[in-house]
Amino acid sequence: MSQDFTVDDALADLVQQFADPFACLRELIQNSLDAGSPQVDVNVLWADGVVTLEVQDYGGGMDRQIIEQRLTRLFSSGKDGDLTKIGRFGIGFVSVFALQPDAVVVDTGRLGESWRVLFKRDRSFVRLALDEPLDGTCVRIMKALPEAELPALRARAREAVVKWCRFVDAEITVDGERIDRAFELADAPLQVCGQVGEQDVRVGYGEPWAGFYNKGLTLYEGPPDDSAPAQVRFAISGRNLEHTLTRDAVVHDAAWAQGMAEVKRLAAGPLVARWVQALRDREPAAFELLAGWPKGLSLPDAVRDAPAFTLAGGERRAVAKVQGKAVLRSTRADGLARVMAADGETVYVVEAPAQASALARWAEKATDVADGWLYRGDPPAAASYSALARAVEALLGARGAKLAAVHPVAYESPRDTARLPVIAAPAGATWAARSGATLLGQGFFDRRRDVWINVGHPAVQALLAVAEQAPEFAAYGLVKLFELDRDDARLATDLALFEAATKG
Amino acid sequence: MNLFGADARAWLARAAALLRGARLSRDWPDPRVLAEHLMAMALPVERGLWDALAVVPATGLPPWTAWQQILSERDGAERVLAHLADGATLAAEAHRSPAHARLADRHAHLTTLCAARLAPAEALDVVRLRAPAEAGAPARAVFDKLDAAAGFVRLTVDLVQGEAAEPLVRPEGDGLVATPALRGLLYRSSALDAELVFLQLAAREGVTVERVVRATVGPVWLAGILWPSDLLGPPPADGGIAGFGLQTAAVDLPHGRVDDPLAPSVGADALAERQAARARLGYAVHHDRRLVATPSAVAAAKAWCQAAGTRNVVRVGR
Repeated sequence: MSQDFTVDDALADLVQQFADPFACLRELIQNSLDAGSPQVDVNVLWADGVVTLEVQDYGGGMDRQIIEQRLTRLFSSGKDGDLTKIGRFGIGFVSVFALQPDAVVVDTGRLGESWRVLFKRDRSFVRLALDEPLDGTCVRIMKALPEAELPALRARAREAVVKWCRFVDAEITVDGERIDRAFELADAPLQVCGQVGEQDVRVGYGEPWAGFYNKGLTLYEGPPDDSAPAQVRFAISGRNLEHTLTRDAVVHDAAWAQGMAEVKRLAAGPLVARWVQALRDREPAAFELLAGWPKGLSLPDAVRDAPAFTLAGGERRAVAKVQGKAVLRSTRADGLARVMAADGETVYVVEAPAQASALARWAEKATDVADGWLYRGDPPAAASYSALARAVEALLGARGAKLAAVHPVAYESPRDTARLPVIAAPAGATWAARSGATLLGQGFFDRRRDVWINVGHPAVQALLAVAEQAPEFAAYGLVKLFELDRDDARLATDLALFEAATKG
Repeated sequence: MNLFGADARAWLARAAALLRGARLSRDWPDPRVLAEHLMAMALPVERGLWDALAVVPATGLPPWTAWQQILSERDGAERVLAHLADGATLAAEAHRSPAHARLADRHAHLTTLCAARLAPAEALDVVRLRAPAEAGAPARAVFDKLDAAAGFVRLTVDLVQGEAAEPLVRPEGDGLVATPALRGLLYRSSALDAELVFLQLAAREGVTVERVVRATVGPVWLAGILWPSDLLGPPPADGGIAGFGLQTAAVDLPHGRVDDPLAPSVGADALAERQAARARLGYAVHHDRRLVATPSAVAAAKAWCQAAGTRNVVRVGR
């Protein structure tokens, strides 16, 4: 037995309102969920020049009455008013025609009835009774397609299902790959959640973005409207949220207002508190957020005044204390930073890259102490260096340099430990690292200065061995290095030559 | 009948595979969760932590006590594990004595339970079915119970609660919640068929019943363990069939129908009473049973349904 019907031509206009023809997959999955299916399998099949988009569910299926009154008639959905279902308008199924298929086959069964409904290109259909009992519904959308275009179509189908259905409370597969996941707010490392009525609300900091979902099905994702809090992303899932007829926006009704009010409440209170706590706990995300905070947008007061940046002495300083100031920073709380702090310098310890970025974002200027500062650590045993030191003193004295004494020293600034074998410096514990040539004067008014032999430097270690046999030659080598400025390219060349000459 | 050791594990694996292949709607408890629950029994019975695994002929599944024991063990698992050494240490010591081996097995079992999805022995969820504009409170109640006689049962009830001294649901916030009266009624009714549940609900003051769906799990028949040759003929090698009953009593059913080869027969007097009730309350009843069969048992399952005059979906499982 078969009957022919023609679907109302008004469908054509409505179908074309779907911006993405692959959104029909969302409509079919929505129908499957409403039919009580805990699993929906989407498959893209190709054979003999025809691609088939197949959506198989294991829900309640359809009997003849449902086929005639709901599947094939516009605006006659039996879901109208049923809060346990997502669909409202009865146009879900007809959206398959947005793909301009050559045929659509629907196999379904319910209450002992089994039916195949075959839709032709002109949307007329034939209903056939099947002998084999069926449960659930399988929709196959068939269209001629060159095989070369199959990968692109497969990718678009998957993309559409992920976009619209990834949060639904059901197992969704695309070509055997499971794509459903737990409801989440992505790209917002700092976030809070709330529950208002039947709505699950997530709010976090990040690029402004909004997501609305009904039972996990995407209603809208994109820029939030102007009423949303600044620099906030949020996601609201609730079965009382409604999409518009064309599925590209959310109806601004009482349920929407309820969700937005919760977003604002969370953003103004709990989310700020979360950020403050994350700063206290030194979570990288808290500093990344500070680093990326847009210029011209003020920080929440509580965040601005929260202890954020750590001084070398361990004290925490708020963003407000740093804002607009030139500061010194160290990548670790080492001796250099500690001694500089003891000398009265304000040094911020930025142990993680995010902290460094945040400090750079809010301070007027942040200078790395390793670029210009050294710390003189505990002196090594002087005896082993005495021959070398005496020879150096003699050589410099012969040149007329105003020299006080030569000391061995261990420096703790790693960069300069490797770069400068000999340093002349004031007596303080910290100083701007410079080579000795420009500091040791020869004039009457020049002050006598100490010279420090950097025992951590490999060249000094090599000279120490030479000094046992020929201390004068070792002193010559060391003073030569001393005379070269740290930024002089010849220093590197000379060190390399020296290393080669003393090897072995 | 009782199964022991490796035989029990093999049986559990075959039964779980059939459950996983069922692909049922939400009218039933999730069969994949049931399969996980079932497989949680494998280790304790195989390693001798349990003496044996019983199989109930009526359902072809373990008795409710076994399901419940898994739930009870899971409830205390974290506390027990906190007092044991870690699994690797216990496994390394297992060779020292039977007691050490038993401790290692117990650790492995409890660790498995902590990660497993298990079916609850009882759960009741109520949601508002339609907008509050409608008179009364339209509600859907989903009740799961591990019934001592019937095994896992899910009752899904759509009703409208009007004015009543003792309502079955009451408003709370935007939604509805079950009252003790509803919980008690559903708890006592889990062994009844859907039509009797429908009638019990309809007899309540102010209640209009729209639909009652009763879904059951089982029987599970496996060749070599439990195979009703009188119904299915000789057991095929490694054959297995699992049945999933579904009874629907609803006002929107166009007609009644029996598609369950295991549908209970009703006496003439009782049938007349029911038909009178159907006419009075305007509902119909459908009995259905989905089947999952191993490839070797599909023919037997189809032949059985054909002989019973019922139309049944027979899904091919593993």
